[in-house]
Amino acid sequence: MKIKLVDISKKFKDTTILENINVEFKPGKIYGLVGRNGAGKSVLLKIICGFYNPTSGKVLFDDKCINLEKEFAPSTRALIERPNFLPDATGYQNLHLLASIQGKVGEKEIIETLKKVNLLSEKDKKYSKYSLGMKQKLGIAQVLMEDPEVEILDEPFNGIDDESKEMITKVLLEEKKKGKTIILATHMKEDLNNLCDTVFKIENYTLKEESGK
Amino acid sequence: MELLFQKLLPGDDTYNIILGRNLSDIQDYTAVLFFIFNSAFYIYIALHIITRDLIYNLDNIFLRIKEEKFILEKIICLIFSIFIFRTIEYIVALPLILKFNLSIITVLTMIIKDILYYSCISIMTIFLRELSYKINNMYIFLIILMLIIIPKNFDISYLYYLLGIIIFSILSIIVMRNNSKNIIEKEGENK
Repeated sequence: MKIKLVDISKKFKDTTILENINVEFKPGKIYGLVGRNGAGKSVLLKIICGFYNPTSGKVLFDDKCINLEKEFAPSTRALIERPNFLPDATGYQNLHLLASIQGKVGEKEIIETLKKVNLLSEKDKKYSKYSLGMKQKLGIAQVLMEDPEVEILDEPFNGIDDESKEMITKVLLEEKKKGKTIILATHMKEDLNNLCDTVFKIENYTLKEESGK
Repeated sequence: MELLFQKLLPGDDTYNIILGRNLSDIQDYTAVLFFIFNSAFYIYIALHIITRDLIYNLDNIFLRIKEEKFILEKIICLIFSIFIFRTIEYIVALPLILKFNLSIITVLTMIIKDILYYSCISIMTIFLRELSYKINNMYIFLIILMLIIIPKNFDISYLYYLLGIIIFSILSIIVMRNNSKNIIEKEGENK
C-alpha cells in the first residue's frame, strides 16, 4: 500500500511540531525515521496511522485521503511509543484478545508470530511480569500477527537483546519481500543499518532524506 | 449516628433506602447517601469500561474496529454488567426484602426498573464524558452529571429510561464517530 503525506503540518496549541512534510512510502520497502528525542517522530507516525489529525495537509493511502474522511489507516498495524497491554493477562491472551476483534487469525498464527519474535517460551507469563524487552517483542508481535499491508514500529529495538534484534531484523526483511510498507522510527541510527532502503531525518520540524538505496 | 440506625430499622421504605432507590424525600440523608453511593458505583463502572481501553490500547483498537462498533459493544457490555451487579445487590438485600412480603413480580419489576435507570444514567455518563473531551474540561462534565443525577427517584415510567438509553446510545455513537481522534489526542496528552 502506498502512503503519501502532502504538506503535513502539526501544531499543539501554539507549538509547532511538524511543518510542510512531503513524503511518499512505497510497498516492498523499509523506511527509517531518525531524529533526536522530541523531534516529532512519534507524532508523525500517529498522523500516518490517523490517530492525530494534522493541522494542515493530507494523508493519502493509495490516493484515498484518510484525515479528511475521518478514517484511520487501512490494513495497518502499529507500535508507537510504549506498548500497552492488559497487565493481568498473559502475552498469549493479550494477542488472542486483539486477534479476536477481527477474527482474521487464530492460535496457529499467534504462536508462529511469537516464535518469530523469540517470545514463545514466555507466552504464558503475565504481561505485568515481562521485562522491557519482552514487552517490546509482544508489541512487535501484535503488529505482525495479522499480516497487515503497512507495519509501523516506533523504537522497535528498545530494550531488546542482540539475538532477538537479529531475529526481528530477519523478520522485517522477510516482510519487505512480501511487499509490505514498513516504517521504523528510532533515535539511534545504528539500529537501522542494513535494514532500511531509505532513511529520513526529522530536524527543525521538517523531513530530510539522509540516505537511500 | 442514632438517626442512621433508626432509619435502618425495618420501616416502610427501608429496602428502598438500602438499595438506593428512594429520593422522594431529599432531606432524608440516609436515602441520599445510599442513592449517591449506588449512582457513583455505576457511573464509575461506565467510565472505567470506556476509559480502560483508552488508557491501555485505544490506538490499536481503532486500527482493528470501527469507532461505532467499539462504542456499541461497550454499551452492551455496560448494560450486561449493570444487570449482573444489580441482581447481586438484590440477592444480598433479599432477607430485608422478604420481611416486607413483596411478591416475586414486584421484586422483578423493581430490578428491571433499576437496570433501566442505571443503564440510562451510565450511558448518559459515557456521552457526557465524550463531550468533555471536546470542551476539554473534566470538571464541568462532573458538575453537569451531578446536577442531572441528583436528586432523582426511580418512580417514573419505564419508557423514559428506555428512551434515554436509546437516545444517549445514538448520541454516544455519533460523538465517538466524529470525535475519536480528538479523544485519542487528549488521552495521549494525559498519559
